[in-house]
Amino acid sequence: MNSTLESVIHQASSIVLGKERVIKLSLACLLAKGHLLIEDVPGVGKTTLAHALAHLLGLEYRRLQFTSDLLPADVIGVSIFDRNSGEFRFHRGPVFSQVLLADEINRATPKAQSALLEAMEERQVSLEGTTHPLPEPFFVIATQNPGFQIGTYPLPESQLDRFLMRVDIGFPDRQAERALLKGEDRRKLLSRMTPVMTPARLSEAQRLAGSIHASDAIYDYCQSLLAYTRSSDRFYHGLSPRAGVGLLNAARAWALIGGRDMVLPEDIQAVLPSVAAHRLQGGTDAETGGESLVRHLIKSVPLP
Amino acid sequence: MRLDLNKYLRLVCPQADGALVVSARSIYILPTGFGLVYAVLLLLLLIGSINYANNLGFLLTFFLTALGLIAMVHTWRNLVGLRLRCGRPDPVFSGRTASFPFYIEATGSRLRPDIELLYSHIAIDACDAGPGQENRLNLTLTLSKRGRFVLDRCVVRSRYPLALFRAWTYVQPEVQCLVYPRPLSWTPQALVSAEADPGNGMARRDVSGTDYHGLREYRPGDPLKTIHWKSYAKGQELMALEFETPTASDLWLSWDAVPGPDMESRLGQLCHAVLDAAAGNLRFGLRLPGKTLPADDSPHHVDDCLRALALFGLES
Amino acid sequence: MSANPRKIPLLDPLQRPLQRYQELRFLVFFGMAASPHLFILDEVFSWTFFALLIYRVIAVFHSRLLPSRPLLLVLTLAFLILFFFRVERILGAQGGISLLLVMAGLKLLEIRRRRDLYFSVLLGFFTVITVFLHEDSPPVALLMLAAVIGMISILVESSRIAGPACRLFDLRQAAILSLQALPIALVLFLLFPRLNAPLWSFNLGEKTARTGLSDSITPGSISQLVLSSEVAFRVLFDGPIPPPRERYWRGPVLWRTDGLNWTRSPQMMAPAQEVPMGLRVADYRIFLQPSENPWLILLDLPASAPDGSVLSRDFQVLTQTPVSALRRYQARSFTSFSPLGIDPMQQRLGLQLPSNVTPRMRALVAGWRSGAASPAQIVQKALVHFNQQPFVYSLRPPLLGNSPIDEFLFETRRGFCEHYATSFTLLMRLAGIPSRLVTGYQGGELNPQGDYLLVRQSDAHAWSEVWLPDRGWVRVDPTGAVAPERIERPLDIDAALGEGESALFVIEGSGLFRAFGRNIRWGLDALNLSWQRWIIGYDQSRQRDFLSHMGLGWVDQRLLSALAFGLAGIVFLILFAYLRRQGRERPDPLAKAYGRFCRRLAGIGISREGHEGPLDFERRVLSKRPDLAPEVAPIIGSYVGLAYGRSSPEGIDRLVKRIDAFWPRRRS
Repeated sequence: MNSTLESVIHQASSIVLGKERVIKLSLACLLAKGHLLIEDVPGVGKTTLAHALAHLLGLEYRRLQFTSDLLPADVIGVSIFDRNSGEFRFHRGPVFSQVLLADEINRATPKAQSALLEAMEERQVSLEGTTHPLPEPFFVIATQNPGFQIGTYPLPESQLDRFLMRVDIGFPDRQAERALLKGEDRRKLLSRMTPVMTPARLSEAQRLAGSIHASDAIYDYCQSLLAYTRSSDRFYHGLSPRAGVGLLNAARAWALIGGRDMVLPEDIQAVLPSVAAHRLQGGTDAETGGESLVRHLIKSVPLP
Repeated sequence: MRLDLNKYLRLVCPQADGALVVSARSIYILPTGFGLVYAVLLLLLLIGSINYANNLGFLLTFFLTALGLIAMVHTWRNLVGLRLRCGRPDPVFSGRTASFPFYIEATGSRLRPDIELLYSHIAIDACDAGPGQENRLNLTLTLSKRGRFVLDRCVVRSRYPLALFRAWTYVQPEVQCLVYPRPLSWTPQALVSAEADPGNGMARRDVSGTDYHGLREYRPGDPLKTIHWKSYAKGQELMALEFETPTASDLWLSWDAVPGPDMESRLGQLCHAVLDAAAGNLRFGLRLPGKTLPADDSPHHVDDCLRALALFGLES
Repeated sequence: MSANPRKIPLLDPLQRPLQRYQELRFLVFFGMAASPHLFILDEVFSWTFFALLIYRVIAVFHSRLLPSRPLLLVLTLAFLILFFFRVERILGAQGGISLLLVMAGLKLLEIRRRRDLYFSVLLGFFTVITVFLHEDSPPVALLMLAAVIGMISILVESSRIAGPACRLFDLRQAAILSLQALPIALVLFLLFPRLNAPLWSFNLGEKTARTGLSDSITPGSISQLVLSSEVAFRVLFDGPIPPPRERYWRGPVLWRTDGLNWTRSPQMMAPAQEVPMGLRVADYRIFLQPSENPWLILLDLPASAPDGSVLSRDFQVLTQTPVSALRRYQARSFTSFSPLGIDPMQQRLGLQLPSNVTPRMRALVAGWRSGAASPAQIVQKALVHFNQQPFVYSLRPPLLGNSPIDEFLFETRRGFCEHYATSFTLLMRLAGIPSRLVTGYQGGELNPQGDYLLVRQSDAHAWSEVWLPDRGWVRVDPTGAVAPERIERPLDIDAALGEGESALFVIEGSGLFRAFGRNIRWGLDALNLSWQRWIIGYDQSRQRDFLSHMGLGWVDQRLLSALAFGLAGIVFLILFAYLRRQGRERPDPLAKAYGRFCRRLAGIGISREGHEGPLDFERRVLSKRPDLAPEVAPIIGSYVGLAYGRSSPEGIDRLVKRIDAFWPRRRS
């Protein structure tokens, strides 16, 4: 299994150059059965990353560009009146895919956003009284532009909590950018690649990640971290229990990727910024961003 | 001249991770009134035993003496190593009760009964802290002055097991609570000064709004319930009902618009207005001398406005 | 910037009302503590107290039954008045205790809040010590122990905030506290200096009638005693235990008689001038039960008087004050000795005759005198007379009139040891042989479980001593002539009663059952003896014995109190250290070893941050000191596996060894 995962990472980083850590985090997110939010300025390869992951994992992939006039029906599907038969037929929306890339999710109205997020949470769609289960596996990789631009609807905190991780890609370093400039078009490169995994292999990897051993010391450490965010003045409100569960699952997946059969504090610390930063807000005084808050959190809570 | 004894006190201050850990050296211990009466009883028993040369009396006297000593150790041990963590209190309006939650963590495997929390010599809350349960003490204080209330020294006390001794320790949690002005209701005739922002009177039309606007041609994806079946029955094209969501003009709450007369009552009146506006889901802004908060309707915005009112004139 | 907060106070725990089970629990324990007073105090007061207690128990379920304060005041006054009317009948401290108990009963009616409970518990402790002033048997002590632990559990319970997490929690805590308090209590008990004289004299009103010997004899007085199985004293012999025929325990010696009553002679109570030479010596310790009599009992013949007593001229051992508490003494006796002389005073007293001597008696004696060459032969003839004439040994002799000895000798001929001893003594005086009557005990039950002799009141006995010119004072037991088995073995009441007459303490059943019952009795009694040796009878001399046994004989009283408190302090500190360790979380050996490892690395300038994980730390260490890799890498590797993987004890041991051997050096 390890070699398979390594090969996924290796191949993905040949597409998204110089971003191995981001790829690993994204992969860990998927192995922990979580949805991923990628936040960065346009053009750094958000879509490519999502595309590459879906392709290499052998998953069916659809892309949905979110706009301000997007309706919930555009996401989850619609019942269309069939003139010939005289009845309504349910047409599945793009959400019925194994990987949905929701591009620029913060451009859509809260209504459309919440339609997607409900589907993410329940892994099914209810429309006109009937329930349509979503395929398994089902991932949403959403991207959003940072900053509060005009005409955007930033995701409310309650919705952000449904994404296991939020990563930012960042600009490539000099060497990687050079290779990017020299190299072929990424899309073409991607289309030539063969999938490394199958959905069956993926669910096996997920199962494996879930069985990674976490000792009492790790549980203690997790709880101390959560307790600190809940009691310290620096944070507007503490991390939710869901965030705690997600943190541990993500750390397990990270340990699996690292080739270990147990969770180490380093694993927690590695995934903590991605898991916690988008859920944390500065307290009453400090208007600090999520990342610096997480750094403060890691430094403040000693290992058990 | 008063001697400041406070600087000689051994305080328990938060550690790096914010926990207040009661160390052995920071514990004070003295007998209670009951303990003194107990000592008098021991003396009586001893005199009686000596006088009647009664060995069972001696045994009882010495047993109770030893018991008192052991109880002292247990009282001390009930506090030592206790880990407290003071949670964040929610902001309150002046005159209301703020609740500072204290969580007792890592009590070890044994029960630590009778942990009391005192604030300026008055016991506020008490609990029996034990493993495997939420051990929470609530320090509830009624705060009357607007601004930032910084929690002073608290006392954590225990008299377990025999109430012969009381052990206590001073803890200094670094926690504060924001106190908003007390909302003062006022006749909002002056709200007419709420200015309309030009160009903000547009409405969004949609099938999902609230106010009926008209019919338009059916577009794929429109929900079934919005289809105007009547017209379809008449053999016309499929039509969908269209609704509109009114976008109200921004409301401006301004320092000059409230009647006053003094600063505190103006702040109170503005506070009331902010709450009213938030309750009505209005988009509003706040104008204070030297500070303006632009119009918004997010929940954060209400908090920001209230904080600005709470700290007005107190902090730069 | 601080605002003025208004506090919202908690209800003071002491003011909290009580719950039903708390009240019941307390009443049960208080009742336990006070229950022995039912048998001690004046019944008016003890029954008043228990009536109040039972009323209070009922009031637990019907709280409106609790009296109001004015009513309580009236009740208090009423009891005070009753007390002053009644107090004359009650002696000494009992009055005070009665008053205390009744007031405690009234206090019970007042218990509503925790505060009341606290002070009532103190009252309970006080009640316990008032019980101890009168009762010191092990069962009562056990009952009191249970009551005290119960009351401690009430204090524990009251100091908690929440209700009962587990019903037994408080009792368990109370038991733990008591166990921890025990070592200190024992040290203080053993070493706290004991005084010989009380601080002040205060009559306890102890003068209750006790069964036992008295300083005079009338026919029938000992047969009363024989029905009592109460213990008179216990004897521990240092050497071999003398055979039954030598087990005569000497008590008062009676000289003067009016023909009915025998009494002691004041002249003979002066200190002895000559002591015979001992041929065979027995050393032993006696634990004498309180007798309220001013003498001690020793094996015949006392060689010297124990401390605090005097050996009289007729070899009684007399004390200044009556023996009102258990008394323990070391004694020495001669079971065989050189002839004892007689002085003129003894000669005169030993021949004193009452006025009711009848001609029949004189004729009987004259008959013996004529046919005898020496006084010894007269004695022999008298014994033969008792043996061959139809004399019957009986616990229920017929009533005798004004001239009892005459009636007994010639008419009824049924009697008990005092009949034989008194008549024999009188007959010897008629024959001109000086004689005296000795009372005491004879025999004793050997307790194999404690290897000591147990002498009961039923072993009370009377015998004669006659003075023979060549042999001195000689013990003669005429009862032995009639019923020799009475001397050879302990009196078996069943047999002695005969004729189907009932006795008060017959053990029913077969011989096997009887042996079993006797074994249990012996076991209990052995326990009782150790209780009396170590707890009740632990007085100054016993304390000195203990000290010299521990090699501390040189410690004087003042130093002893310092020693007591010093040693108690040391024991306290040991307990304190133990409790402190127990309170702390046991540090995990793995974490301890890893801490050591980190400290050693910090010693060479690489200190681990609090939040730094092991792998990160390893990386940082190796980037600074790549030369340490061969040692650090395996340590971290196995630490990670043990701390975060599945740990094994052997793995931990190996890692601890590896870390112990790790001593990094600073780079020069």
